[in-house]
Amino acid sequence: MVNKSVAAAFYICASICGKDGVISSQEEALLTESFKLEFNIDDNDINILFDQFFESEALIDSYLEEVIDPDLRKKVVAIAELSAAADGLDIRENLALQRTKLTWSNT
Amino acid sequence: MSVVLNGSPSPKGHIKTLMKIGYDFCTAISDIIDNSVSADSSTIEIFSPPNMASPYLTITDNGYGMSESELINNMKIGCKDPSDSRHADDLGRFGSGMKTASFSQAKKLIVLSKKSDTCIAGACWDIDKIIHEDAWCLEKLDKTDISELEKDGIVKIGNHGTQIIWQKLTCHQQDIHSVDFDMQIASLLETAEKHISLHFHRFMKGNDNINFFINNKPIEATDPFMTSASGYQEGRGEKFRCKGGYIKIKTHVLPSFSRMGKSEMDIQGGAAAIAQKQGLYIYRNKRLINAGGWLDLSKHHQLSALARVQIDIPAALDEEWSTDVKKATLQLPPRVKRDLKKYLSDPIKRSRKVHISKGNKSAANTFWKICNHEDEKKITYEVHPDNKQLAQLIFKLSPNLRPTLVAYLLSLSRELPLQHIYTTLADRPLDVNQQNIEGIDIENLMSAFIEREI
Repeated sequence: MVNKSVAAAFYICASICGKDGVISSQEEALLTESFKLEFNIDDNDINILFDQFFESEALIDSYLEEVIDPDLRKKVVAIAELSAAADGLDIRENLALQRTKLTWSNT
Repeated sequence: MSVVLNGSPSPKGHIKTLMKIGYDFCTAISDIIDNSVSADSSTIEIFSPPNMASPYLTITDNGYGMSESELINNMKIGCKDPSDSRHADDLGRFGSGMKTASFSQAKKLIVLSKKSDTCIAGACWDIDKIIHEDAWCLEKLDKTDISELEKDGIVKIGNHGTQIIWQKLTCHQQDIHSVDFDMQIASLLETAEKHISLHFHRFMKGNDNINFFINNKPIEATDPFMTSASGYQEGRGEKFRCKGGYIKIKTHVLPSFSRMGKSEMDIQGGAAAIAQKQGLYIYRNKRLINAGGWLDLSKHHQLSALARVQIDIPAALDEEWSTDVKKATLQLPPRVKRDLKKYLSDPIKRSRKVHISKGNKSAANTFWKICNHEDEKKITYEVHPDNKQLAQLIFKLSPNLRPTLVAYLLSLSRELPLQHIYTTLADRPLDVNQQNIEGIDIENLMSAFIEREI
């Protein structure tokens, strides 16, 4: 079972990578590896997180509110930046990333 | 204060609208088959007996069937919310397909269904009755009604399954002789066979394959990518994580026309059809929804005739892909459109390469010169002036005849039937064989000259 803030961290990264509802295989691979390494979660957890992410209609802002810890925020930004750039960081992904950084810098 | 009034449509008007929802015979049958596939059937049979004064058509499966209450619920139009999540293998969407598809082809729809541990349940929509009574009068069949159908030899359900019966058919012209009914129905079934063999081809192969029949004749799968043909090229693939699973993309290039056997080409509908059907092949849960065309992502071109891009989408993406009630059209979401463009270039390039490498052989011809006048942006095909045989002929010819020969050669180049060659190569490439010219006509001409001189 993945804790709430790690799940929110995952959803933020997935939101940034999948702005239009799809996540490329390169993005998925980097996202999966990074979360397994950083948060000690397995493939099954990752699959559940992906399913929950695509099932949910929540906006990125609601996930951003759930991540309070500054260290976790740093990790999220680093993973999101790395994963979203895996197949080239496009304008929408970059905007979502900047929005994340801006929201957290103001709180 | 506004007053809320009852704005329900009248059944009479509504049913007439539903009859015109835009299905054709093939898409209507396919929509019924979708339900049979979702019901885990291993056999699906389409049957229309010949020589009937009132022809009818049935589609029978051996799926898990429905109980009486499930049947009555499923007979209601719009019995499911399209936004509700469905089982991953479910091909349905709006809960209207079976009814609207049937109403587009027949005025009477009878559905019989049986689970392995229940008796046959039956229900019927009769459009004439709905119109006459201006009410949604769904009939539940009793044992006597079902026995009547059994006596008439119409019931085909085995231990379990569902049978759709279309009576009072509207898919054929009714003001002609009954012999012509058979011809019309045969023609419709022939078209349906081609449609099913392509659109359900992935259900016809593999361990848990489904056997499809039309009037007891098995339907063979048509693989639009010709993956088992010699000369087929598989290209790069990719997958995207999305709601409900993955969008999978795979690229294919068909063998060149010269490497295709005649029967292989005929199965695909001939060279013109192969060229016309270049493009995207979109599958929703293995069921083909879009057979070719580039959906504005690339231009249709003779050189990309062999390029195919296979896209698999899960049914969970119906809303995002705007699948319609007939599951016959869809729209690509913007992100997918953008990402897809990356994968189009590869099969298109390889298709061009197959054509151009053949073209280069022709360019190396010593009899015809291809002149690319870049300044004037025009290309001409001319008798090659450097041909040795031609040079020898001109050399041997008396000087006064040389201008006549040159004028003739110029006319020969000008009058090359390019348009005819282009359309024939596009339409019937296997029939063109320039190596097989026997020279009989020319030899006859020469003999006539010699005889005249003697």
